[in-house]
Amino acid sequence: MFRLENLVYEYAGGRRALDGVSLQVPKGQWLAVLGANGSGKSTLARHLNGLLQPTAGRVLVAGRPLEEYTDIQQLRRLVGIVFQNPDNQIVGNSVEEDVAFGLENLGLPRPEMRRRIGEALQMVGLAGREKVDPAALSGGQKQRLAIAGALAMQPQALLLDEATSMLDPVGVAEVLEVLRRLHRQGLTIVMITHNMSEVLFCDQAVVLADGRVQLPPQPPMELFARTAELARWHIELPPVTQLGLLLGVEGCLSLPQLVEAMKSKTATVQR
Amino acid sequence: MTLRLQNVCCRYGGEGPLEVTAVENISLEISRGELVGLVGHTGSGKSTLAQLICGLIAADSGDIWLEDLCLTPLKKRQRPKAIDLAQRVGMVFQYPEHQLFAETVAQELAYGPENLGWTPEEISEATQRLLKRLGLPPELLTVSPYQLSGGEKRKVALASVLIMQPPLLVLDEPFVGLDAVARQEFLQLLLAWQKENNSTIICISHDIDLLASFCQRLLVLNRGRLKLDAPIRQAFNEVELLEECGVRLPTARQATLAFQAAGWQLPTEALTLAEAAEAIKAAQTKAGEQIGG
Repeated sequence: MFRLENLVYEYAGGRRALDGVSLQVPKGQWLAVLGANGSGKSTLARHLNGLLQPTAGRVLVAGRPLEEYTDIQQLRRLVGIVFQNPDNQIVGNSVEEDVAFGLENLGLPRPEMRRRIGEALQMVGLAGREKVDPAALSGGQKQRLAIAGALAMQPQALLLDEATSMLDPVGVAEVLEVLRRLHRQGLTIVMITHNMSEVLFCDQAVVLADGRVQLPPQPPMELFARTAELARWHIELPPVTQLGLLLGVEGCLSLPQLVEAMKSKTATVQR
Repeated sequence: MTLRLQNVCCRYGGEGPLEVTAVENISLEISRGELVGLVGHTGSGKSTLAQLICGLIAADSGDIWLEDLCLTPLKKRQRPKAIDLAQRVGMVFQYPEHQLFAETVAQELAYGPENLGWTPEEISEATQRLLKRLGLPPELLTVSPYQLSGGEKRKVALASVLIMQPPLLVLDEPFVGLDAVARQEFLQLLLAWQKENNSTIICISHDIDLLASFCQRLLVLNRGRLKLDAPIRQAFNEVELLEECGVRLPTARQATLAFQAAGWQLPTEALTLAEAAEAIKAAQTKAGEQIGG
């Protein structure tokens, strides 16, 4: 779905945010992009739907270089993006109107628009709030509305830039369940997050630092075994994994797993 | 006494079918120097309560006292002046962009002190001291706040509040968007400030593990009502209530409960991973002794 070849990006003033990133994201993969603040994660994500154009190097989306998407809206329909702050992307006077905004530009028949709006709101748990003013929603509710707006366009890929960071645990679980469902349906997902528990749902995770790939894409379990390297790049392990290490158990990703490991350890010591 | 709320209510949307009760009948007292966590499901009224406490919005009924200042006068023209509020309470918003407004970082930090009549020298000295304290380079003073990174914006928003030295700090999701190291640095900055000034901190966060590591008291909101107000260790014993309110237990507490459910004999009051590990190790030793006979 995405292919980056030696991607370089410099902001005005010469600050190099990406310094030769090469990366492939196969269709249907769920990739977590990890890194400390300022590592280049958001800059990378913004290249994937053409919000930014490379200073050097190439970005291919669905097999085509970015520059071949002369109609940038076509690219934006193909690749939806949800940012951390939904206030920057909510435009409607009502929930329904906000989700409809992108659809109106597609010239779809009204019944199809209504169906897509209903489905999108159902998916994010906002069904029944169609007439509510987005300004009256809490931060977390606004975030789910922003996700619904992206989903209504039926993209092939979805980029999420810390999109769950403002949600309560229930909200996070709901959004992750939506993403899992979409992932099963074949959607490619690229997710920037600081929440390591979310990474466990992903197929692979990559670590950026100083604008470069420092740890290439690999399954979360393999990544979290590289504790020294992760610490170097300011990546925290999931809390359960940290607790496991304090107890001398490596690679624990869940509490049941940790309990079983400690039971075995205790039995082994006694033998 | 720093803060007192008595039967405070706040509604949005006017009267009619669109009216929403954001905060309903909340009463509480918070003393000087307390570290308080404020949690609840999305839409439970946390941000509304924070804004009421800071005098940014008016309550529909009830009383709010902030030190010696009453925030709930009957008539609009009796409302406290912004400058009086700023010397008593400072708020760092969920999105720093919502409170940054000046053309440069220097102007942002100077705004409050200028309104208090500080001299340019006093403002400059306080600004330099705060920048150093928060790890922000002095070159940022001439930069627009909107050109800063997310973490830098959050620090500038905090600096603009701290420069007024309010006894009460209200922080709405201050750790969002920060990586693990930045999160700890920010927390240590806050705690150092709190210790030096005996400030009161009310912190809204969904990061329950982080709140458990430094808060002394927990307030839990559910659909606008205050459902729980307890010392933090005790608060996490209310497992069913917290679940009902959409608040998860800290990982440490979940872990000790999981081991207890598996038949291990251990206390379940851990707040941090280190405490949980100690409790589990002690239980492992005890289990080993029992197996050994």
